[in-house]
Amino acid sequence: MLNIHELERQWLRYKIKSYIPLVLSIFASVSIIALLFIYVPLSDTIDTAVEITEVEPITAQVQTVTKQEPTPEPVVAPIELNIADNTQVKIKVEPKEERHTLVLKPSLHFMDNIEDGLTAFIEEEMPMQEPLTSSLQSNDTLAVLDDNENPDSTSTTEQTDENRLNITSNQDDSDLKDVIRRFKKNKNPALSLFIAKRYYAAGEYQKSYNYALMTNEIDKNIEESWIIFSKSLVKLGQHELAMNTLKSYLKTTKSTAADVLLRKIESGTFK
Amino acid sequence: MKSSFYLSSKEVFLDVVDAKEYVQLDRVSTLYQSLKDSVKKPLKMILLYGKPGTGKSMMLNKLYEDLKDQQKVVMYHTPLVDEVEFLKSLARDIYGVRPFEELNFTQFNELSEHYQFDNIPIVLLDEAQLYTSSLMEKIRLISDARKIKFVITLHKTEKEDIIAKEHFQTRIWESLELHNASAAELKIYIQKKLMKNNCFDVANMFDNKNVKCIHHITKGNYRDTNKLLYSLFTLYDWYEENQPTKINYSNISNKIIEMAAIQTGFIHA
Repeated sequence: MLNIHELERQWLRYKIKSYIPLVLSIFASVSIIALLFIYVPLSDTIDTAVEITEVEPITAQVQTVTKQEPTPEPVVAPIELNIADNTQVKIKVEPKEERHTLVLKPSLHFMDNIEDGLTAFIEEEMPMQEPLTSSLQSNDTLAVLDDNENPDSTSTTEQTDENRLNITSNQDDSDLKDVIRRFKKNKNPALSLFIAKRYYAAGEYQKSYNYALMTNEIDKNIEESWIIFSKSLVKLGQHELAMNTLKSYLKTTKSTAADVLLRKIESGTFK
Repeated sequence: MKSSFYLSSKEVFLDVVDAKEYVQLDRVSTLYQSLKDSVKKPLKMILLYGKPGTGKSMMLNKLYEDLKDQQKVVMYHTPLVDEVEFLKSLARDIYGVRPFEELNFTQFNELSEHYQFDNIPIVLLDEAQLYTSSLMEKIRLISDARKIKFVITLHKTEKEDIIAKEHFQTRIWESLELHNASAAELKIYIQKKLMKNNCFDVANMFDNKNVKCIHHITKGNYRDTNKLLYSLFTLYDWYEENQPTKINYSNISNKIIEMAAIQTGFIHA
């Protein structure tokens, strides 16, 4: 006697079984594709992180150039050219350039040697303009720059700063979001410091404070991060906290820049 | 009336060895012609071998039907395992002698010396792998004496290969191997079989997908195909009587083919 219903049930089971290998192979291939998609963005972020660390010494180079050539009239053109040159260099830069920034550090020790004379000089004159430091990211070199310049040259650097601000902000607009996204993925302190500096330059002090804080949490030995952190605090009206931060930082290090900034805050020249 | 439509198709695939049901396919036809040519040659023995269900018995039966009117041909479908019984059967069927006492091998040879034929008598032995080694040795000796020509069929297994080597290696002058059908051959086989029995509508319901499915299940084995199709038309007959709305009259359903395969045990669900 035929039991068709049972036979149909058996047939259904057989069909389901026969499709299992197909389903598994599709699932496996989808998983492999998904893994590939995850892997590819990671490699992107690693590449761009290297790129950003290379940008740092380039801005420093711009500043040193302006320091060497303070002549009022041709300032605008040479700076633009310098930036253009630097962007070209940015493409060709090898990881060796990154080591070059580390090589620059001994020059800060040289600054230690002239610390006494320098701080005294700063206390006497203090002609530094806030927007200047905010537009340029390395405030240490700026301080030296301003001290060496006469009032006329300061005004010209302000003009050049305006130009420079425009150029860098254009780059920020296109890159900053991307840098934030990459920082969220890989927690690279170089990236968070970069973001903090950009926000500080843009006058978004709360954000610059946050990113500097994150940088300090990741790596406590980045001087620039402590400087930006303290500056942001001052801009947010937290003078006492900024001074306490710098004092506690100076207990562990001999940072000239931190010392200079502390003195400026204490004297009220940095607001 | 539609119920008999599938019922008559079912009867077509009953697994019986009947020369009238023999279906000529290109490859099988060539082999059969080779067999017929071999029989005409002065050969002592002819071996027909292949896997079970490849049509050996059917071909042997067809040969018997074709030759029986032309010369003395004897066919043994079932093996005669007892030696005396085998020799007595040969004496009876070839020489028309009915010995009342036991007939031994020497007596049989003496008997065969008294008879002469224009064409050497042919004995067709199906399922020869079931014969004992001793009896196979006697068959060899009879064929050596050129009194009787033997056409034997063997299943192609390792064991049977040994038998073939031991007993017939030097004596078989012709050996023919039968194979399972290809998908194309299977389609012709099914359709020809149905059309021979006037089931034209059902024959037209088989398309290439159906045949591919059947070939996948049976690997082109004729006996398995007959079994599967018998089960298939049993199911169709049931659907026709109980759930006719589930039947597509223009095509055979692969689902029902697979159900038939499950029922016959070709597929383990």
